[in-house]
Amino acid sequence: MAPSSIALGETATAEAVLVTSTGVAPDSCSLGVPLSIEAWPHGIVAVTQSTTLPDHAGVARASLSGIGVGQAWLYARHGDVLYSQPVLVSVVPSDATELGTACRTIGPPRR
Amino acid sequence: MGVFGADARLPCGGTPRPPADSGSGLPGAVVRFALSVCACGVVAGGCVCADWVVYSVDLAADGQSVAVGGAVQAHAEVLVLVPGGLFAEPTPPASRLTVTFQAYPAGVVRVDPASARTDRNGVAESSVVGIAPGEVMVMAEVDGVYSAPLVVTVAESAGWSPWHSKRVARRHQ
Repeated sequence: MAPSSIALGETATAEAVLVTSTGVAPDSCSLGVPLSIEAWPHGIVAVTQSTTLPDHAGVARASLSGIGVGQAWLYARHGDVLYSQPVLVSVVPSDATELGTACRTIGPPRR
Repeated sequence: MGVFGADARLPCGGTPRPPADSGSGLPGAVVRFALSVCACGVVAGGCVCADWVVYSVDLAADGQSVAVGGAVQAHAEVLVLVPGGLFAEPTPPASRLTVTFQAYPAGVVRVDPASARTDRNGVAESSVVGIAPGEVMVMAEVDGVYSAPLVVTVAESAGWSPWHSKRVARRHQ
């Protein structure tokens, strides 16, 4: 799987999709089970509104926010037993953070 | 062998199938997951999507912390959904299933063996061996169905040092 990245302080959307083995839309029973998106380890990506019911197409969405620089694994959970393959998400420093670091680096040495 | 005629966790009988599009990239800042379910309610009443499908994989370990160089035993129990109920392997299917153990991120533990066949009770065993201090998420997978993640912490052993490890590595180059 290809690593993905978001900037620190920025948001992204996570989509979890229920797909049937028969190629038709998930049934009402499956759609009535909450679908959640979770991140590990904590402190890198915040997931808001992480538990929702999937829509008629089996899609559930959540917002991701980069709250710490690093990498986190995200996965989706349907009910108590059905888990997705994890997805790696990197949170990179924002432009403002990089600029601040560069200024400190190239500034005159302290006397 | 466990037999569950009506599992309260998923009363409508949703059936997991291999994810079709897990882990696509992030152009447009969207992370996508795919979890597959069967459209039929096997447990609720007689709809057959397949002869059998993997329903769930339950991963457990004898401990959730291990020292560098140490190991902890991991057990993955596979439940199979067939018309009429849930069964632990091998009734049915008669053939044993292969469980793949995966750890995220890499480099903290080694899972040995990386894949193992289920026994007559539907359980596959493996060892999680500590390589370097840190935390990992270990999951077991069968036929595209994943277990809940299990977090394992690797603590430094008394004799472990990253500098010593590097010196040893250079000496052998």
